[in-house]
Amino acid sequence: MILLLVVPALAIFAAGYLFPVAQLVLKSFRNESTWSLQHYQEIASSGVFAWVLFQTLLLAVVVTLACLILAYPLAYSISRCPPWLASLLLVLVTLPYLTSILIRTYAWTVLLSPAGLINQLLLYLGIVSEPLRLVFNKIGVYIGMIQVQLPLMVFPLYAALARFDRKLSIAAQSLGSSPADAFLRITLPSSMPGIVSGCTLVFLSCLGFYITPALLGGPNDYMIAQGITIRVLTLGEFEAAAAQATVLLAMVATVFVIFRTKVATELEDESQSSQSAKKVRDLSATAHIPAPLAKGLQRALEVISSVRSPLLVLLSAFTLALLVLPFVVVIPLAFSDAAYLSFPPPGYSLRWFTKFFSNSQWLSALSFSGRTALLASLLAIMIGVPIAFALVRFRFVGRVPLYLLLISPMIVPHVVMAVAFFFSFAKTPLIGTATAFVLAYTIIATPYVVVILIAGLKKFDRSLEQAAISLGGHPLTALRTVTLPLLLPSLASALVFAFITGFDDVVYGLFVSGPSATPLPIRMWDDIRLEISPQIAVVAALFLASLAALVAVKAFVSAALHHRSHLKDI
Amino acid sequence: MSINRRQVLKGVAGAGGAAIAPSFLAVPALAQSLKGTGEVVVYDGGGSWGEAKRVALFDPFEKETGIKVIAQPRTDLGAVRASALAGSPRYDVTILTGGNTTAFERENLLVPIDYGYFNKADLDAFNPVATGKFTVPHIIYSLLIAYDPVKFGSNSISSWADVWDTKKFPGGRTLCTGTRGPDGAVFEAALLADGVDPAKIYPIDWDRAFKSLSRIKPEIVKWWNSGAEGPQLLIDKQVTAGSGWNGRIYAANEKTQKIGFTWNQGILQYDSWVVLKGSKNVDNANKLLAFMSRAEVQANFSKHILYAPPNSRAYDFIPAERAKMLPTYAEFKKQQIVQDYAFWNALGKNGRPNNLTAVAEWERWLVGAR
Repeated sequence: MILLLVVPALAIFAAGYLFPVAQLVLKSFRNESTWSLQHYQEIASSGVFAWVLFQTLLLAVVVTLACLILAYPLAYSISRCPPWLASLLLVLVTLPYLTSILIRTYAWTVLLSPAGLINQLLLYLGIVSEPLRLVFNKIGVYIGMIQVQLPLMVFPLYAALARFDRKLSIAAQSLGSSPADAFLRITLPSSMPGIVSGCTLVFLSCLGFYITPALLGGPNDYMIAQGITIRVLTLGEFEAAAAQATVLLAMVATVFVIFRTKVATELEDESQSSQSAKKVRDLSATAHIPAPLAKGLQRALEVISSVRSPLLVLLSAFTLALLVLPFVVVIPLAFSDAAYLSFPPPGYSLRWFTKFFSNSQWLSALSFSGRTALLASLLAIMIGVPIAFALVRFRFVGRVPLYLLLISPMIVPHVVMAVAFFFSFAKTPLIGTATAFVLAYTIIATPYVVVILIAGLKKFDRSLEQAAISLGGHPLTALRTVTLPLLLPSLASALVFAFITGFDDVVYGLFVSGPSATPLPIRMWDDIRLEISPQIAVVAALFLASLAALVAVKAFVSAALHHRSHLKDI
Repeated sequence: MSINRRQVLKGVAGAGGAAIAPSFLAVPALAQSLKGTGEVVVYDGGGSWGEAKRVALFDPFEKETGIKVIAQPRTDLGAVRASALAGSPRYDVTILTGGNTTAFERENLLVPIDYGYFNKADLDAFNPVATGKFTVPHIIYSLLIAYDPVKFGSNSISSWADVWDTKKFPGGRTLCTGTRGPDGAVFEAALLADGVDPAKIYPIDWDRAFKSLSRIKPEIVKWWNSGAEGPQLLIDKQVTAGSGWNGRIYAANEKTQKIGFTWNQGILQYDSWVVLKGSKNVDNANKLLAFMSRAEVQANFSKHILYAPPNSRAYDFIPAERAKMLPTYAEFKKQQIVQDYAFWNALGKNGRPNNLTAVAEWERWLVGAR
């Protein structure tokens, strides 16, 4: 049974990822045609690598903490919203994922520049007397990274909080608990799995980032992925790049081992996890905290709780603004009539839309990307859901390593995976075909499916399923009629993430595309490299338009269904 | 091994440096017909560069020869190299910057050009960069000093020393990142700013270059990485001076003059066409290269985008107005220096090619370990 659930994913991962990366790691120990540690000696002796590594880790930690602080109030608010508003807000949260990373980061340079909107607002409000330096330094990198990573934090948190039975907190309050106390003892511990999975996701995905720091950072900012990418794409020093990537992998593995209990909460048994929740409760209750401190904390939370509604709304609005702000810039840019990016545009026209739709290369790339990313996301669901079931519902040897393997494509810099993939398949007819893209996209999309589904299954009330079975339902019927419908929100968000992960990919495209297989981001890559024209803003605007259409259709359909079920009742 | 490499390098330096057609070419006075069948897969560069190629080079070639051109967008150099190393090159014909061709030659990744299809008159006219055993120059362009014309007025900044002088010309700066090696000519700019005689820039004195760069570093708002970034920073008023490529600067100045520039101390650079080893359409590739080397064809290309034709005879067919905008226009050419790719490709004292040394030293300098 377990084997059946695990094998499909393992087979795909072995062929398209594990085997190629293993070959690449071996490569890092080669020099010309002999075994050698030369590349590692270079890393150890130069001092550059250690500095870059430190910078990267620091960035990842700060971004993770900032995301947690910003995302929690928002996720909490969304989980308390009526469903229609919640789904709208969740769409807004996904927005940053839907625009080209380049146009998004350009939007930040416009917003954060000395004469940009934010500085003007601060000056107008009298908060500052002269413009702040907000971009091309660490601040710019943090803001840009936080915006990109926020969705990764909001979604798991939301999933945890939405499943949480609010009645518990109300019950606690009715039994005399203050709202603050109820939050500390009940809500916060219940959302712990979401916090852990969000932090894991954000921290690890930060390590592989390079476009945002490269574009928003200052002259001294240099991240590990930049170094690896330059080695692969510019210098063609594959072995040195492989060595750096291997060191990065080893570091991440070490982090995993050290924090394995924390990371493994994701996989803990129901009883264990309630134990850990209990631990948190004990901790938050006065038992382990020195009395004065606990009292202070309690007092502070009570003060906050008296203003909590407005404060919550304010904090949530701030986070939402952070997510949405770049679009204030992107959409007008698409209608610019200038040959360069300028905000506000000197004039408006449909020039860049006309250009897009009259170009068959853009259009065929668009359809190629849409098709391959859709296929890959479906495949990722098909292999990711069973394995998430296996990980949550069964105990077996190698469970934790399996989980780490499945989420590792989010950590390993894609450039390394892609180069490994390419070398493994270069001699086969696979390169330059849609199949290669589907395989590659499936591998990078599966981690999102697994993480989202595990979070979904964890808080899933199994008693419902068991009830169905005990009432005579076949387990498969129970799966179909009880389990899957309840998991629908998780499945939907997994599908969206999986699709976008493939659709947005540039790196595999660089290596795998061919005359009849060119994805959209590769077409965009050219424009981006040679001319930052408003063309890419058009692509972003079109994304948004299709997304709005999707949301409208969904709202319409659910309204219709609702209506029908009402009729049935009558 | 390293002796072999040096010998190859020497040969290349000779071929690239002198403006004569290499003697190993047996070129008939009149070119053969280029008619053929099948296809050829070519890197098109994308954007307006790719469009210019489609209109001025590929469409006319298809019409004349019946060979289909499949234009492919960009992949980075490492990906191209990986594909050739693996024996299934991404393109039949691609473009390499001058600073990169030798690495490909060294690794035996290129197919020698068959000059049998070329016109002798065209071949003889390649200047200031000659054709090579493996390379046919495609475009010549300039890395120029660029500045804010509103703040400083036109014709204000006229040398790299002025760019470095933030007392006289206050404001932020942007230069190409050294992680691109010779691409953005940041090392040449640093030496010129420090007063090195343009004729004595090579071999590059790394210590002096980095010392000069350390002087300007506090004023650097950003090291640009892609060609559009430098001009964009000037348009956005994030910097007041820096460097940028002529094509990008002209595009930004499409309607009004947004960016001031000078040809003085510009760095002339060039890209070459090459045929990748493992190509399945070598004959068609040679026909395409021969077609694209014609003076009339290159002149037509220069009408669509502001890159200079390596075939100097093309100037006979370019209107005077247009010619005055091209980097190798006689008056501009003498104010600039030609980047010495023989130096950049050569092996340094440490046994590594200078372009790789530059990147490694740049990383060390950036993190303060130099």
